[in-house]
Amino acid sequence: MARIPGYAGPMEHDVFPPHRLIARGLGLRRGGLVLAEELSLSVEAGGALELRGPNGAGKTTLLRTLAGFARPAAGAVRLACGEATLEAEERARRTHWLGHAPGLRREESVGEHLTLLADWWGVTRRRCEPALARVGLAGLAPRLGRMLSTGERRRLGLARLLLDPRPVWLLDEPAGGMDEQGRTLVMDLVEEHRRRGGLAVVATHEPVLLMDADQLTLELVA
Amino acid sequence: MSVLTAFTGLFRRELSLAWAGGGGAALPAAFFLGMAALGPFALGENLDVAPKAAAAILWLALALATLLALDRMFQADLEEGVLEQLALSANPLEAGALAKILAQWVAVGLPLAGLSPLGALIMGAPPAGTPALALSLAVGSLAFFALGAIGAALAAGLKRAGLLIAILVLPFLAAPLIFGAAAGARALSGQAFAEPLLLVAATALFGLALAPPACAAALRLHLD
Repeated sequence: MARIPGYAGPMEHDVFPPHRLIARGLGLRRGGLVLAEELSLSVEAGGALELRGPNGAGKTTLLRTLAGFARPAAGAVRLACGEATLEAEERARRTHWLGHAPGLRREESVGEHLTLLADWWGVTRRRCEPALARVGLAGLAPRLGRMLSTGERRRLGLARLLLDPRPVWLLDEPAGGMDEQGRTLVMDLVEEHRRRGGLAVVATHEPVLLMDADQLTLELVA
Repeated sequence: MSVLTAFTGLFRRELSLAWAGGGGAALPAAFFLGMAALGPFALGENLDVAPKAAAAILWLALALATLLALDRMFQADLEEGVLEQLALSANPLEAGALAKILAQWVAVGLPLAGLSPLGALIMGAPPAGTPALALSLAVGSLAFFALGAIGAALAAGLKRAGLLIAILVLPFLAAPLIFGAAAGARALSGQAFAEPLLLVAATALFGLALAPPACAAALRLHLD
């Protein structure tokens, strides 16, 4: 397994309290197009759900709905911690989103970007360097957003996951455009996250990405 | 405390981005001075009215230069996925919108106000009133950015947002423009200007109260 020697990950010792992500009776639309009806899912602490299906089946829309960005046409998403259902604001601060967008401006450096998010998310700036090192971007802090390759942008997205420890990871094709090492890195990080009691929902086209994950296949609606 | 760290962190980032890589602030500044420099030529043989028209021309230049800066105020962050990362936080987008407004004001508005005495002198206005003119423009640009940010946030998801922003925002810029141009003209002609200046300040406060929730609501719609 490809690991950075001498570095164990920013917060391997912490363990999350048990969270559960639940969606009931979701109706998903995109631009008037019906993507799904009566979709229900539940992901436990330490669990993972792989979203599969052809392009346009609604994987990203489902993830954006779980993240709270998109409002479902029907049904509801909730995040429970123990017995309590969390408010929208608490849900937002415990959720990580890794989408297709780079997440930083073209004229912004990697270091400035992570510093901003550390400030905005309320974590110490000291976490930035180790997070970059863990995803293989050590020393890339001065690099501008427009100079990053596709794979480096994906890795920076992974560094954001490590910057702030959050129990819910919503990843949209995290290994897309990555080399073999990058895919292994994604697998490792998700495994570590689950061992610490985190949960993940991952949309992917990779034949194998997660260990013993539940599968949800979305079909194209005719 | 952590809200304050978050707020200043975003504010500082916006400031450095405004001037990074020949960024957003240089064009409005050039536009503003260009209008001041060309104003006397446009007046032609009526050059004797140029000192009287200086305040009006500079206030118009400020309003239009503000529109140039509003174009990309939220759009770039929306396109690059920065807003998604900012939205998933205990800190509300309202605070983020306020930080962006204040940063635009400091990075773009205040330099333009600082350049305005130069612009007024180019048009032959008496030097004595120019500091007060600059003050009125400084307050006015805060009103422009606060009110304009609402339009910028509403149009952030569109490809050519500039036109829509102009249509949405210009009517709201009329109020500070009316009072501000009056304050500037009175200052340049040596009259009392406190009353119109206070009215400009009132529009700025109104904008600052209205803009953060309005911008945040608009940005959340774009994330959908």
